[in-house]
Amino acid sequence: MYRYIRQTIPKIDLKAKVTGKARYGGDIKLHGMVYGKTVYSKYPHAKILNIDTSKADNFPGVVAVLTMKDVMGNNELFGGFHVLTGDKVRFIGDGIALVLAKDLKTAEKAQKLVEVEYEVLPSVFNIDEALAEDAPIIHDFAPGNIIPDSTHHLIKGDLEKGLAEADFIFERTYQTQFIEHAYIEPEAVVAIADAYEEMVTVYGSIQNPFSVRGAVADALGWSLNQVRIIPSVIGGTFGGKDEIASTLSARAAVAAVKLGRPVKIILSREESILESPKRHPYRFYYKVGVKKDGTITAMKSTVIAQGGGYNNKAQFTNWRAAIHTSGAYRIPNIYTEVFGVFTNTIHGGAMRGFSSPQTIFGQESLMDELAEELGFNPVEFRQINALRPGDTTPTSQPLGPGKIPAPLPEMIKKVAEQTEFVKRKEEFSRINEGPIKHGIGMALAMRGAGLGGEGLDATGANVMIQRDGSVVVRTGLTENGQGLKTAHSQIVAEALGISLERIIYPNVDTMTVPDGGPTVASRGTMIGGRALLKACEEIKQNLFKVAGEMLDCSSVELEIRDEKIFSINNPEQSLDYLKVVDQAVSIGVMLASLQWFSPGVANLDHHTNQGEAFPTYVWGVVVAEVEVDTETGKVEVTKVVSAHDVGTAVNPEAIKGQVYGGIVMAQGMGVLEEVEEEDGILKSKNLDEYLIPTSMDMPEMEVIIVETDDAFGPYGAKSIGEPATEIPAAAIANAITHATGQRIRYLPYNLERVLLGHKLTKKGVRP
Amino acid sequence: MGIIGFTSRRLNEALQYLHQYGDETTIIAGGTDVLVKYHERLDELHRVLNIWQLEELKSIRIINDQIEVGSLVTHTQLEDSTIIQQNAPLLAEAAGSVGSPQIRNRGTIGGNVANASPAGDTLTPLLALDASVKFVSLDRGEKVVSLEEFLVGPGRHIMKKDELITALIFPIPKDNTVGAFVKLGYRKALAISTVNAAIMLGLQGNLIEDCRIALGAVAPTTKRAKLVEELLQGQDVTKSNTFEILGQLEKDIAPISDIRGSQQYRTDIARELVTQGLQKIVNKEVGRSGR
Repeated sequence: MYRYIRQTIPKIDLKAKVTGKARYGGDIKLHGMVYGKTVYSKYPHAKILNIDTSKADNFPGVVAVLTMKDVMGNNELFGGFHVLTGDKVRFIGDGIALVLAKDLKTAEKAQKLVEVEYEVLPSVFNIDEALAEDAPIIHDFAPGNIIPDSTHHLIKGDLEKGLAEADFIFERTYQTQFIEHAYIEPEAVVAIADAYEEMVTVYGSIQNPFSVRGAVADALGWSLNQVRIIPSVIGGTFGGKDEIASTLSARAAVAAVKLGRPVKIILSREESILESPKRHPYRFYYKVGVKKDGTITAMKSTVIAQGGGYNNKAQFTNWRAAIHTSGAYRIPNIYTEVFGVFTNTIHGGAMRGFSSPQTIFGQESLMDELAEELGFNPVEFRQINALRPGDTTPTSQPLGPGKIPAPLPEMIKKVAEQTEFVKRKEEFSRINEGPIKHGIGMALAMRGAGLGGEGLDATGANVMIQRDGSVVVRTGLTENGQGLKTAHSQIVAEALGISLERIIYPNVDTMTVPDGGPTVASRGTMIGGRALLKACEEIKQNLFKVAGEMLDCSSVELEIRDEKIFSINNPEQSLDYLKVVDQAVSIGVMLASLQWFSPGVANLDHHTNQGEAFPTYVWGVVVAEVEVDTETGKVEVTKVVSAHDVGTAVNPEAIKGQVYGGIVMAQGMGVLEEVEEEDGILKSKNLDEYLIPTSMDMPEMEVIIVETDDAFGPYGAKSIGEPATEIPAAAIANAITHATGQRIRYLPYNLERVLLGHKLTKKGVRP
Repeated sequence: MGIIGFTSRRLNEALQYLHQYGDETTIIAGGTDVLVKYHERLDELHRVLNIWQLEELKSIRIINDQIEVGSLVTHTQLEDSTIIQQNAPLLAEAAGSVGSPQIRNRGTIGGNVANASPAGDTLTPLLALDASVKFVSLDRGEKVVSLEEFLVGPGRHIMKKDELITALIFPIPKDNTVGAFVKLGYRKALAISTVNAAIMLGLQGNLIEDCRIALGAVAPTTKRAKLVEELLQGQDVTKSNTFEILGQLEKDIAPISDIRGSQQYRTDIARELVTQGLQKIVNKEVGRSGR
C-alpha cells in the first residue's frame, strides 16, 4: 500500500557522485586560501622541551607557523585531545605545530623545518603494560591509566548462584585488534572567518557537525552561535570523521581567524591513518556456567578496551559493550564489567558497530566452544539459549508480542535451513581430508537500536513546502554515503503523499537546524524519521484545513496520495496538491514545520544497567563458509548469508548495499586487517601495507531481510548500518575453526595465525 | 632545482643522455615503482629520463633458440603473449598475478628487473628460465649477464648509471620441461608477495633430469635454491622422498621478518610453495601450452 516505503529507490545523490559533480572537502578552493600542514610528534610519549619554528617561519611562501600559544580559547578539547600539543606528546599522531603556506608543497617543505626538542618518557603500548603496577602514567587525571568514566557494569540475577547451578564451568579469553576505517576520502576541512561578524564557518568531511561546532567554539573561546559547520559531501566515515574532524576544524578555524584568510587542511592517507581514531582492541575474559542440557546458567565477563593516547569514545563504546557482551541469550545470571585504558598508541574511537564487532567475536567464539565441549552442534546450542518472546533481555526488558519483537529463534531456524548448516557442517567434516579444508560457521546478535541509555537521544527536522510546491527538508543528521537523504526523502514523500522529485535535501548547516546530535548508532532513519513524520503531520494538517474549506468538508476526512487531496468518504471529491498549496499561500497558512523527536530519558539503573537500555532492538544471524589452505594459512571466504531484522525495509536495495559493504568490512576484520605498531610507531602507514579486501576477495553474498512488527520507528523502520558489519567476522572465525579444528582466540585470522596459531614479529612471539 | 625531464624516442638518444647525465638521472618507464618510491617527494628527483616511447624495446621475439623480451614489454603483454604462453607459461602466470590491471598495463619487465625487489614476481620465473639481462651503454656497448649475477641485493644490481636494460633473454625450454609459478600474498589482488616460487623441471618420464627452483621474498634477492636443485636431480617427481628433500630448502634461503610475514612463516611457506609447485607439475595443472 505504500508508495515510497518498502520500495527500491535509487539514492538521490547517486548521479552527482558517479558523474563527479559531488564536491568533497578536498575540492573546495577559495581565493586567498592558505594550506595547513601539521607537524606530528616523533615519539609516542615525550615531554616537549622546546619548539623552534624560526626556520619554517622564514621559509619563502610560509604565511605563519602556529603552536599552542596561538590558540586563543581552550587548547584542550573533549577527550583530552589538543588543538596543538605543547607540553607533552602521548602518541605519534599528536599535532605540535601548524605550518600555513601559500600552497600545499610549500607547507610540506616547511613542515620539515620545525624543530622540536623532546625528553623521551617511558611508554605503555598495550593493555598489560598500561595496567602494570609501576606503569608510567599518561594523563594526570587518569591514575592507573584507567580512562575516566569508561567503567560500566551489567548485573542481572545472582552470578554465584548461577555458577553453582552449572554442571560445567568454562573460562576463555579473546582479543581483537586496532582496525582502520579506510574510508575512500581522507579528511579535509576548510575554515573561513566571516567578513562582517565575529564568526567562522567550517566546511569539510565532518560526520558530526554539532560536536565539531563545540570543539571549534572551545578552541576559539567563542560561543556556539559564532560557529557554523557545513559538512561537504562525505566519502565515507563509518564513525571515523568525528574527533579527528573536531581537531582539524579547530586547528583550521584558529588559523583562519588569526590570519583573516581561508585555511584548508587536507590530510594525506598516511596522515589520516596516523591521526584518526581506530576501532578499539577489546579483550574479553569470560567465565561461564552451563548445564549438561546446554542451558547457560551464568556468565561473568571482564572486558578491557585499549584506548590509546587520548580518548573520546571509550566511555560510550564500553557502555554498549556492557549491554551486549553476554550476547542475545537467555542467561539469568550475568555480571559484566567493562573498562578502558590509555596507552601510548593510536587511539580507539567510533567505528561502525561501536564495540559490537568485538563483543560479538568474543561471545560467538565462546558459544561455539561451549557447543563443541558439550557435544551440541552450533545451531542446536544457540537455539537452546537464544532469547525468545516471553524472555527478558540482559537488561530485563520484556520481549514478545506487543513488546519488543524477538524473532531470533525463527531467524536461526530459517538461516540454518537455507544454508543447510548442519548437513554441510557434517559433510565438510567428512571430506576434510586434504590440505584444503572447508568450514562453515554461524554467529548471531541482538543490537540496541539508537543511542539508548548511552546518552540522550533527540533530533529535529525542518520540512518546508515552497509556494511552487517544491519541498526543502533539513535535519541535523549527515549523509555519509549510507543513504540517509534517500531514506528520509522517502519518508517525507510517503507522509506528504507527494512526488519524491519535489524534495531538495541540503547538507547540514548548524545555523539553520537545532542540534540534532550525531549521525551515529544507526539512528538516522529511525530517530530522524520520527521527527520528519511529526513535521509532515503538522504540514498535512494545515494543507487539509485549507483543502477542507475549498471542498467544503471536514479536514479529518481528507487524505493525500499521489498529489491528490481527497475525501475518504467520497474520493471523487478531490483537489490537486498544487492548487491547495497555492490557496494556502494566498490566505497566509504556513506550510512549514520544525519538529523534535526524543524517546526521552531512558529509565535505566546505571549501576546495574537494568531497565530500558534501548527503545527497541534489531536481530541478526550470519552464516559464513570458508576454504582454508592448511599448508599456507590462506583463507578464502566463499559465501556469507546474512539475515537482519530491520523492522520495515524502507529501501530494500539500499539495505542490501549496506549489508554487502558490511560483510566485506567484517571480512577484513576477520582475516586481514590489523593496524600494526611497533613501540608506538605505525607500521601500517598506507593502504599498501594496511590491506583491506579487494573486489577479488569478496565472497558470494546473500542478504535475507527480515521484517518485524515494531511500533517504535517511522513506519516501523529500525537500523541496518552497524548491524550489517557486526556479525560476519565472528561467523568467519567460527567457520575457519571448523575447517582447521584449531581455535584461535585473537583477530585477525590472517595467514600466519591460521598456520602457526599465533602471530610472529621481529620481537619474537606475541599473541 | 626542480625536475628536468627528458623523453627519448630512440635508444641511442637515451644512451647519449645517460652517458652525459647518468649519475643524476632516474630512468622511468611505466612509473609503477618510481612514482611509489618518490610518493610525496617527487621534487627530490633531479633528472628524469622517460623511456616509455622507445618502441624498439616493446616486442617479444624468437631469435634462433632463444626468446628475447624487450625491456619495455608490460606485464599485460607478457600475460597475453602467445609466445610466452606457449613457451614459458609460468612467466605469463606470474605477470598476470601482479598488482591490478592498471599496474600490469604500465609496469614493464625491464622495470621489474631494474627495481630488483626481492619479491619481484617476474624475477623468480625469469631465474627459473635461466634468463639473462641484456643492457647497453654508449661507450661500452652491449653486455649480457645472467639474471642471477645481475641481482646483488634488495634494490641493487650490477648495472652502472649510464647503462640501460634493453631485453631479457632466455633459452626456449626443451620439450621435456615443464614449469610452475606459485605465489602467496595476503589477498587476491594488489598484494606484494609474502613468498613466491618458480620451478622449471626437465623430466625424463617421472625422473628429474634438470631442475631450477627460484624463490622470492626469502632472501636479499630473488634466488635459486641451488642445494635443493642438486638434491632433486635424478629423483622421481611423484615419490615422497622428493618432497622430503624440500626440508633442506631452509639452507638455501635467508628470509627476514617484515609486515608481510615473519622469518619462520616465510621459511615454512617457501617449502610449502615449492611443494605446491611440484604438485601442480605432477598433477599436470601446468603445461608448456596451458596455464
